[in-house]
Amino acid sequence: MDKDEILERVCEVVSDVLGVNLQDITPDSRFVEDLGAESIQSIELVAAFEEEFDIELDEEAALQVQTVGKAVDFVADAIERQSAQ
Amino acid sequence: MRIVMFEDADFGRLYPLTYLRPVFELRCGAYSLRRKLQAKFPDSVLHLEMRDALSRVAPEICPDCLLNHQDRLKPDDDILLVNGGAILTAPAQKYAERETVATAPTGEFVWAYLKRETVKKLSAVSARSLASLAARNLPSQNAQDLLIRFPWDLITQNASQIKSDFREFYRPQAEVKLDPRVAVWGEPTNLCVGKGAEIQPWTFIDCREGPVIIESGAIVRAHSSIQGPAFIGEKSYLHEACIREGTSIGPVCRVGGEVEESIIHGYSNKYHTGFLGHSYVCEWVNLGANTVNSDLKNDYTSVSVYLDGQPTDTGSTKVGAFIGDHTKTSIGTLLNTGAVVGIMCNLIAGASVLPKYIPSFCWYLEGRISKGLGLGAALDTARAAMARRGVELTDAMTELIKYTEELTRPDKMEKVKRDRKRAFR
Repeated sequence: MDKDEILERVCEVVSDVLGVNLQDITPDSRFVEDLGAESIQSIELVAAFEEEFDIELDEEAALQVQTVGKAVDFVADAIERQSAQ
Repeated sequence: MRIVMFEDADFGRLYPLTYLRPVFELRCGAYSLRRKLQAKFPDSVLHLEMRDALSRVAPEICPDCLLNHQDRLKPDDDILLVNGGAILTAPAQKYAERETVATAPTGEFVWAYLKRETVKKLSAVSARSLASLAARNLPSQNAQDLLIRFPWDLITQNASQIKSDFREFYRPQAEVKLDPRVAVWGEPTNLCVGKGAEIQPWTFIDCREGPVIIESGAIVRAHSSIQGPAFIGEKSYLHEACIREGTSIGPVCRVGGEVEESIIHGYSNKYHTGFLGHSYVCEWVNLGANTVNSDLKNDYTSVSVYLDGQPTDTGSTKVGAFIGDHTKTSIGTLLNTGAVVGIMCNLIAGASVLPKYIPSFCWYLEGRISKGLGLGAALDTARAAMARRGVELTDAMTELIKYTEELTRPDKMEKVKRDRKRAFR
């Protein structure tokens, strides 16, 4: 899965969970400041990414991710690691 | 005679109450099972044997005790071997009349009196194996004592144990000096108030049906009511609380609202309105305002409780919740009848009652079980909560919590994945 596809799917998940328009989400969008994610929604986002990509994320590390772009990198790393196992 | 109290192989039946403490440290009545045994045999040396996972933290839980000591089975003395879940009810001398093994009606080992020659002959490496060998080799009798087999047994026995502990541990006070605006109904000798306890005006204490014990440093604020038998531990505060019969509140708790036939182990808060009934709450729990648990089904049928992931019929219609250490509930949380909540959970109220079983280290959020913020954040919260009461989260306890997280992770992840699939399908 390439990063463009991951980005597209991450944005869809973010739009769904946070109730934000897809066109308002960019790789530079910050979850809290730009997209209005509250702490409970951040936990929901992590769970939604896990289900979307069939991966398990380290929740403490995942909750440190601040932008959509960084989330794409984080998910891509997790997919690669877990595919190799 | 030496006394050896040990955890048998069934300590897991008492989860989540025994993740962070040995079975014999559970509270029933005013005191722990261990303390009751010590009081019955004050002149005997007591040895305690527990699972290895608890050995580093045990000195913090049972200070001044002999723990997993290498000499506990030394055949230089007769031994009274006692199951850690046992409450011995006969006079002390009855237990050393003759060599015998006493078992529960369900077959579990309760206690055995073994002469030193028998201890030498059986040559066991642990108290648990000694019990097993004794049961196979010695004459047995039916135990007339109590054995705590399941979490709800603690609640069932609590009222009678408060009465029994009152007789055992407390002497009638010649005169309890109270503010004249405090109302006491029943025999004054059924009320015991410790040094420095404060009972504010317009408190009502009903000790007609059983004793009320208020330990030193406790504060009972105005408009509280306490119906005996009841035990209020050291430095606990009641804030306009309605404490009903059969309730034990351990030390340093903050309690308001209604509590009935429940045990709050210690260092926990249920400060505001809400109902807690027929429940056992471990340490460092915070029940948010308007947290309510059900202890009776609407169809009056017997309550089932999840043990080891399986629903188990309690045979009782009145069963509440069993809440592990360091768990927190949000405002307005509704706990189902017979709910089991593991340790270090964070429950955020939803639109309806929560599931009956929530594994340890889980969050309950938006109607499903989730991983939440993770172990690191949970430990930070534990540290902060304990610091508010001047208690340190030690390295030994941190290690035990981490061990428990690993132990319970498969169960947690099974429920997390199941609920996640349902939520994001």
